[in-house]
Amino acid sequence: MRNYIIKRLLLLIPIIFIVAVIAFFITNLMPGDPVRVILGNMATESEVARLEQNLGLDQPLIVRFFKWLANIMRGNLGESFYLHAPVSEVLLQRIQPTFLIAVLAEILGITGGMLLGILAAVKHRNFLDQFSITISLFGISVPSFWLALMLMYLFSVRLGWFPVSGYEPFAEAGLGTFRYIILPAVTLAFMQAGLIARMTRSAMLDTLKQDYIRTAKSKGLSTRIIVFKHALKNSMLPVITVIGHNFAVLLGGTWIVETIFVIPGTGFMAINAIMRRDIPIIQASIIFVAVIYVILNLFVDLSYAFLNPKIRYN
Amino acid sequence: MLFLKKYNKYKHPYITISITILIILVFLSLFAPVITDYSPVRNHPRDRLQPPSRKHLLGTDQFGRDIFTRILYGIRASMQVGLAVVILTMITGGIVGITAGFYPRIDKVVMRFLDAMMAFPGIIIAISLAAIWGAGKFNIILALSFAYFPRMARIVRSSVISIKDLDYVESARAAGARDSRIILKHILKNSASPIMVQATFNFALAILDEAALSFLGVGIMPPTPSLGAMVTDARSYMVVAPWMILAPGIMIILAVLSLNLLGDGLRDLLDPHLKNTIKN
Repeated sequence: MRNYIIKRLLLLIPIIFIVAVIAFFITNLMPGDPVRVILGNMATESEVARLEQNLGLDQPLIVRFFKWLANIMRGNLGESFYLHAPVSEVLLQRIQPTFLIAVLAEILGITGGMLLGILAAVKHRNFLDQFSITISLFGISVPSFWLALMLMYLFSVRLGWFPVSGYEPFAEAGLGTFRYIILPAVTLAFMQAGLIARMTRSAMLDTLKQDYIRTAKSKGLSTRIIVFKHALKNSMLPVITVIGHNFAVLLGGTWIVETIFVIPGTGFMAINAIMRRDIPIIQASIIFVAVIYVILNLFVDLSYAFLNPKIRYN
Repeated sequence: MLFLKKYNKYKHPYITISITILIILVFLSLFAPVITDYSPVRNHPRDRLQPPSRKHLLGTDQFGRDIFTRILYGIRASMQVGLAVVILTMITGGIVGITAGFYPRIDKVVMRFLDAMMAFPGIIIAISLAAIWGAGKFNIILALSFAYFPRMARIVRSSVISIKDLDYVESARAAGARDSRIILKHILKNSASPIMVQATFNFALAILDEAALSFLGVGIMPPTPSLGAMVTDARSYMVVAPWMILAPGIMIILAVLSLNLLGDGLRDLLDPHLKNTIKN
């Protein structure tokens, strides 16, 4: 097991390298000249040239790439064109709301999705099955930006339960922070719940057909014990895979909901950076999302061994 | 077509319902200029923010444009983007997937690259690329295809690998068939089911993501009608004109829902074993 973990950790290096390459070339092929965007239309040629030199943009692409790569390896993500602060610092400042939204959304999504999925499988071909299939189908079909606005209209504008937008850090507002992140988290959780419910249902249906479930039933065990003790654990593998794979969707969603609810997280920062051509910030945001996704999926792969003792990594 | 033979409209209600809705949507978007007399782009300041009435079925927006008309043209744009993305991902994903699956030497390199690509959420790649190439229908088609092709390539690859060592492929080879013939005649034909299912889900995803890109202002640019951009407009008038936001949203849901339903139906129809292998 230890060897396997080490091997997987080493395999992260080429993947993160390719991730970095993609992030660099995507952002540096942007046509809008960042220097012109920063200085505006009135800038003279000499001003443009000077700023280009300051930002290192006058060098050829390939030179910039290797310099950038060398910096990244030392943990230096560069400096924002606009905020005049190191990118890593800016990123750390904005990580809290994104982290809270993602975790809350994932908790709500997993709980809701698995409950719906189990319900559907246990009551197969019943009214409850239809109900939960319908809900989960809506989960994957409703655009998150539209759902976010609907929730905002209903709960913030009409009912006034939550603030319409904005954010207060945890250190200042304490639990009051959650008033700001509940609606964004619910928005993202709805889609996750849909995806998770669909997979839970089909995995659970497969498990419930197995012989040992019939044995458990004929022993006279109650449905509750069969479902939660025997079947659930054995249907977890595909469900966990889906949770891992769709974490990318969740992180992508934070870009959209943070923009809608004006929450100063990493997603809001990234969208703003894209509009302003703040290349170092865009690169860091893209790499940040990809690295979190890759690491989370490493944990997902490792969790297989715990859930199914038959799987041994050698 | 294989699936037409298996299809029975009473036994597969999901497919029947979703195809019916999709045909209606395609009809509405194709015949939009005939169905409505209003222009989707011309402003009528005197009629601004009218609630739904007999004159304007779904009301008007802040420039006095008929929302029903704009929705018809909007779903037209969604369908165009979705269809183009599906075709492009099938071609690129197909070529990459077949090459990787058929030639093990290339496989390792290609798979590492695809793994890294899959680490980026599709919407993030699409937003970045659309920002790079500039907004516009053609650019978001390219951006979304680039974001989706890795998953398609992986599905094609795994289906090629599962087929290429089967006996009938072996015998075709023994009979002297060239690689190109084996790929076109045997492998492609027999991996059609998972490709079609994934293509249907990609269609749904493309409509959702096109709407999100247009909503963020990096997709289809105003005044060209797009369902996502209509929601952006509606946002500022949510309190005074709620009908503006409901209509485009419901239209997106209708299209995406029926495509997802069709994907589920096709998956059950074509290959029940696919249930756990394809994830949307």
